[in-house]
Amino acid sequence: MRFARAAALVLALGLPPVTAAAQSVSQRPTNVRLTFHLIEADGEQREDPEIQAVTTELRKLFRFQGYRLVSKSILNATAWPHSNVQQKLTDDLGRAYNINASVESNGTDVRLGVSLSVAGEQLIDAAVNLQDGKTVVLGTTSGPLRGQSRSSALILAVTPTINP
Amino acid sequence: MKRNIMKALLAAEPAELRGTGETEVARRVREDEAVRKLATSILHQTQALNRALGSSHALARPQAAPPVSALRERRRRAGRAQSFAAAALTAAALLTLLLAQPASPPVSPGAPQRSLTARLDVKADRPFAVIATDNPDIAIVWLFNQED
Repeated sequence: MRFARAAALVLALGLPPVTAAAQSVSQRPTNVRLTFHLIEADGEQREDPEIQAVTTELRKLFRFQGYRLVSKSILNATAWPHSNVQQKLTDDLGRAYNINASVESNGTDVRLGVSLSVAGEQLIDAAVNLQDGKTVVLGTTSGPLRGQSRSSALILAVTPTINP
Repeated sequence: MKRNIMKALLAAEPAELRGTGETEVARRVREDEAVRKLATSILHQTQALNRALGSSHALARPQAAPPVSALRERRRRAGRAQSFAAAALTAAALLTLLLAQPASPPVSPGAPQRSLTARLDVKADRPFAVIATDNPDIAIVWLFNQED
């Protein structure tokens, strides 16, 4: 079963990557709503229904004790051909988060460049192709959070809605 | 041909990837330099992923490689931890493949819809792994830190 899945993925990856959003720019403005869920791993034992679809998949891969929804942000961008948006957040411990996103769209797909910094330290800096309604989860390990002695992880899940 | 050996490498045990044993995969690893490089890359990426996630108690910790026969017996009895290891291997292989992909031709507008993972075209400031999930609407990109 695992082998079949891996083989399927290999075959999928054997196909060329798509950079449609970067190659074909929309001739008219595209409104893109980006829904960000900022999640801290090992932060919470209780399951948060808001992020249940994502944490269900994370639990299959990782052994973090729990996932805490730090914040939910909705950013609206008008890509013509591209747009930059920014969101600043502060969690309940007073820690400052900064999400910067650059959005480019051809009306169908979205090319997203996103960075996440925490207390001035950049933890995530990546660019990905997004599809309408599909969620991409960006994660990385971080130093101990919330006074914990062991490493944790910060996870940024982003779901675009095109022309909402 | 290349896909066949890739499939075999994905399913191979670490010892086989090192060229140990008398299996077909181990023999190819020993005799074919290109296959050996691929196997070595998969091993390294698997170890990197395990280190990264193991530091957070995320994946099953890698163990010293026992004989192939023992590994196969263990695989039959494996439970959840084996799934984690398989996921790690798959992710590592995916990373390897992503990094190894040659320049690609333009995509036909009529090309069939591909998986979310295949279309991500990730660019990042550090090594990463693209991990498919059982949910076709969710894909995971894990970014590695230097200390991982």
